[in-house]
Amino acid sequence: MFYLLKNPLLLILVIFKLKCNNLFFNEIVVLNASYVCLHAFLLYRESPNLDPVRHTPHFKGGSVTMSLNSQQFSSSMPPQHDAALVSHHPMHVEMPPIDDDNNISIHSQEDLAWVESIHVREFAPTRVYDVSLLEHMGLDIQLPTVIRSIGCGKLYVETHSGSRIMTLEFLMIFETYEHDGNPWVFFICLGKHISLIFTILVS
Amino acid sequence: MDFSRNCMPKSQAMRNFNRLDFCNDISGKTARIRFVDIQNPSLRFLHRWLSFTLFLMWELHSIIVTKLKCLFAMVHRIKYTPVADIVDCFNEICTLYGPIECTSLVTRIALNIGCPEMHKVDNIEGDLPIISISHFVHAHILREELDHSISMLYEGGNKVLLLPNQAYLLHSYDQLIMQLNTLENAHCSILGPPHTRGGPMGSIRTYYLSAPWDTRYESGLPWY
Repeated sequence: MFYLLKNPLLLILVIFKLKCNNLFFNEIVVLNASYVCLHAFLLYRESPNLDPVRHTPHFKGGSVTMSLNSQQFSSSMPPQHDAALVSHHPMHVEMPPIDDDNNISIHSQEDLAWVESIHVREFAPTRVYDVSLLEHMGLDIQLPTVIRSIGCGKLYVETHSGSRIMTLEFLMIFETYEHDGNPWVFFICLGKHISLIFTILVS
Repeated sequence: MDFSRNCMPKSQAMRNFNRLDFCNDISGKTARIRFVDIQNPSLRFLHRWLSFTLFLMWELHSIIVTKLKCLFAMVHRIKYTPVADIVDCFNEICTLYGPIECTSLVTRIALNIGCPEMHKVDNIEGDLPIISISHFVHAHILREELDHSISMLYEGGNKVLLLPNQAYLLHSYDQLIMQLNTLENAHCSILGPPHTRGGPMGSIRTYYLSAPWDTRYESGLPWY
């Protein structure tokens, strides 16, 4: 919020955005005030690059730190691949205060369109097959067996419900970037800024 | 994302993947293929599962290379995770249309990274959407016969395969395509009038495939 107040142009853009889209405002209220900063970043995020490895995110000049079971990692020192730890233990990433306007590029019309387009999309949980239909066709055992054979067995058993606000937040900020020659992903999940080395997503 | 830890984003075995060859193996065509060109019933359902679980596409009939890679891994039982392709899908979701159905996948990621605020988030109301036979009947993929058996449609409904059919289960036999043109080996439908697209009802005869063997397999040529 301090950053918004410090930058009049950004503040005007956010106020304009709030007035134009009540849905946008409601979502901010539902979450917390830090989301204002999140969406401010969206307004100023760099233009996306379609390459799988995109770019260093906005906080490239900052000292992004990530604590994982009291083990400190720095963005300049990617953590070693330890899937077990990352999969089962809470992760906390602190977003540093940005004090350099050069770290944030002006939001393009393309990004504005992206923000608008994803707001109006319909969000739905992942579909599942009717088990009785598969039984009727003799595929009820084979499908999970084949899917398990390539290592996606857990994904076949879909028991999770979906959340619109969480998915919205995830997709709006999700991006990949390269650091020290390794691909990383960055996203925000329920206010937590997550930066993970690419291969951790496997497990 | 809950893939097996044995999965490799870049498996050595996947280097044998060739799009044209694999398209030919599963459809008998080397040109651009669509969903209906896949002949193996198991692969059809696996392809559709990929479409609404990992690679979110409203256009379920299109076949993209990323899905072909997964099908290739399924056929050859290769531990493979398409995490790079899924990430690309996340990045390109703005270019797609239709509902965003990766919400459950995001929930899965949030649970795995241990977000403690999960209970504060409202989930999308309602149960998980279930794909029943009506979905496939509408898509002209399945047909329910008068005796409530189920047939899989081929070539616009002119040919059908009665299910279940153990001969065409994936991994049961080393074959992925069927003899669609060997009508002399097929017999007429006796289960009621055919439900075909185009023309008056019953104007096109419906055939059940009865010869499961691929000529290439019988001749001793490698099926893949």
